[in-house]
Parts: sequence; C-alpha cells; structure tokens
Amino acid sequence: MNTFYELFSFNVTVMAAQTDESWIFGLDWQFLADALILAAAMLVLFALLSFLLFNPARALMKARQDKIDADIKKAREDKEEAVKLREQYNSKMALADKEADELLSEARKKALKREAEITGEAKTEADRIIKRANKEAQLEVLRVQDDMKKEMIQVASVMAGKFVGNSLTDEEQQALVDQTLKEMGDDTWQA
Amino acid sequence: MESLALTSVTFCEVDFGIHNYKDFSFFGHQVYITSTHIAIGIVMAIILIFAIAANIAIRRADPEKAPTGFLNVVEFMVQAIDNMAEGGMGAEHGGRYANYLGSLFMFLVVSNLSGLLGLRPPTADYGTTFALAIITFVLIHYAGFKYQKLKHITSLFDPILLSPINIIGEIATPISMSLRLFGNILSGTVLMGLIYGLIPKILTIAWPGVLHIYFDIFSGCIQAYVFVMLTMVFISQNFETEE
Repeated sequence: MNTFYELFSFNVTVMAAQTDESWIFGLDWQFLADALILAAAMLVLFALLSFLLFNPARALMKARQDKIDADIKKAREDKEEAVKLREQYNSKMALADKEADELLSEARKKALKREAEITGEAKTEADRIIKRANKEAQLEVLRVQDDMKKEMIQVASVMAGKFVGNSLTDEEQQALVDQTLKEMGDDTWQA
Repeated sequence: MESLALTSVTFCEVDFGIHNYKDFSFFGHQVYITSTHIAIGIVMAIILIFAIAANIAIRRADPEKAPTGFLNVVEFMVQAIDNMAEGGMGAEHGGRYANYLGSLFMFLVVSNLSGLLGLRPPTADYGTTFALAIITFVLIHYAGFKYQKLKHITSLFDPILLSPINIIGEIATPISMSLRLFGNILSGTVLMGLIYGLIPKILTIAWPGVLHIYFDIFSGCIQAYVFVMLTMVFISQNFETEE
C-alpha cells in the first residue's frame, strides 16, 4: 500500500466487510454478543452509579434542603414571635403609660387632698396656738396687773403708814389693807 | 501503529476499524473480545472512578454547610440530570427514570469524548448503540404496559388499515435511534481516521485538533443529549396518553 489509491481501496474493503485485522459493521453473532455485553455493562453502571453517585448526592441535597427549610421555618416563626412580642410590648407599654398616668393623677389628687388636710390642720393648729397664746397673754396681763395692784397697795400702805404715824400697829395696818382690797374688788383694776 | 513511507513524507496508517483480540464461544459461535469492549471497560472505569470520588466527597460532606469544590460539581451535575429528567418527563415520573437517564448520558458523553484519549469510541460500534436503543425500547414498552395496559397494544391496530405502519413505527424507533448515534459517531471516527492517514505525520500534531472539537466534543455531546432526550420523549409519550 504505497499510494493514496491503494490506501483508499483498503479502507473501502474494511468498511464493506469484515477482515481478520479490523471491521466496522456486521449483523452476526459478534453483534449480538456486543449488544448483550453492553446491555449488561449498562445495567451494572446504572446500579453502581445509583448506589455511589445519584442516590447519595440526592440524599445529601435533600438533607441540606430540609435543614434550610427548617431554618427558614424557624426564622419565620421567630419573626412572627418577635412581632407578637413587640406588639405585646407596645400594648403593655401603652397600658403602663396609661396606668402611670392614672397613678400619677391619683397621686396628684391624693397629694392635693393631703395638702389640703395638712394646710387645714396647720391652720387649725395655728389658730389653736394663737388662741392659747392670746389666752396666756391675757393671763399674764392679769397676773402683772395683780402684781402691780399689790405693789401699789403696798406702796400706798407704806405711804399711808408714814402719814398715819405710830398710832396703828402692824396687825391693824394689815387689817386695814385687807378691808380696802375687799371694798375695791377685782373690777376696779380690770376696768 | 506502523508508518507508511510515501516518497519522502511519513504518513500514519489509516485505522478506524474494530480490532479483535481474544476469541471466546458464544452459544456455540466464535466471537471476540474487541477494541470496543476494552474501550467500554475504560469508559466505565473513568465513570466509576468519578463516582467513587464523588461518593467519598459526599460521605465527608456536612449537610449543614455550603458545598465547595468537587462536591459542588457533583451536586450541580446530579441536579442538572434531575432537572432534565423532570423537565422532559414531568415531576411525577422524571425522578424514577433520572438515575438511568443520568447513567446513560454519562456513558454516552464519556464514550463519545473517548476519541480524544486515542480510543475508538464504543458508540462507533453498532452493537453498543443498538443495545442502548433496545434498553430504551424495553423502557418505552414497560411504561406503555404499565400506564396504558392493553390499550398500548390495541392502539397499534387503530385504525386497522394503519396497523402495519404503526407496528413498523414501533420497531423503527430503536433502529433509528441506534443508527443515528452510530452513524454520527462512526462518521466522525472515519473522517478523523482518514485525515490522520492522509496528512503527513508532522501535521497531525496540530490541526486535526480543530476537527476533534467538532467531531468529538460538539457532535459527541449533541448526540449524547439527543439520544437521552429521545429516550425521555418516547417513554413519556406513554404517560401523556395515560388518561
């Protein structure tokens, strides 16, 4: 086979029929054997790939998908819970504000009432103190007047004694003072 | 691979056929372990090494953490296959067929791309594509009997005059599917074989790479996708007429 034509004719021979060296196509027992071998190989390949590759890969992806689904579900539930909690918090805060306002208002009312009570009590006490002070002042005035009266009588007695001289004894002098006082009475000094 | 000397330029030997290696008896007939079987073994080994690595990564993964690196690729791939199955067959049925469709798609893609590794693609052997199409055929009629019961058979004779066409149409399904895939991949294999044989050896280092992009990567992935999509469509036709 030294020329192109010889080479080409060799190829045609190969394609047309089987030779001992090589062949391309034939519907014979070799073909049936090839088909059976390939079919068996294909079934083995299918089984091994299912066992080694496809099913484990799908199981892994399914596990990951389940995990992601669970995470998303949990995140959604957490979010819903958070929204609920926020709403509860807001409502509680509103309620607390309302309660605080009510408490403050009540406290204010109580304080005002207490203030009024304290003021009233203070006023009453002040009035009582003033009255007492006035009464004490009056009593003091009376006491001072009484003292002054006594002083004046004594001074007058001494002066009268001096004027009267030695004719009166001490007992007579005392009796005279008492009588005078009786006759004069309290009204004389208080007027 | 021997080189053929043509004047002063060195050429590669043209080789795109299936080679026989060791013979064995199959129902009393002599058949061979061929280069297709070896390529199927290598393709399956590549896929299984990937699956074992993925399994290890999955076992070590923590489902509570985001996937990274290789695990990301694995999960993306499985998810894409599931979406494809559910998109083509509906959410109810897609999940049941997703494992087979995923296995089929991985096998076809790696087989079609195995030309890049210097292998002869297993899908360039009609014994391979026919077997895959027969599995699809079995799944189609399994779903047909499961969801349509006897109507699956009686519908072939309705109307009675069209029954031969209906029956031929059913039989044609696996043949057309298998020949479509086989023809596309074989054409790429033959063309690449011829190109490698017809250009000087020195040129094979660079420019056939462009052709590999089309014949192996583009055509290979498209044909794998088409085969899987057709499998889904033909199976899911039986679900649609269930009611």
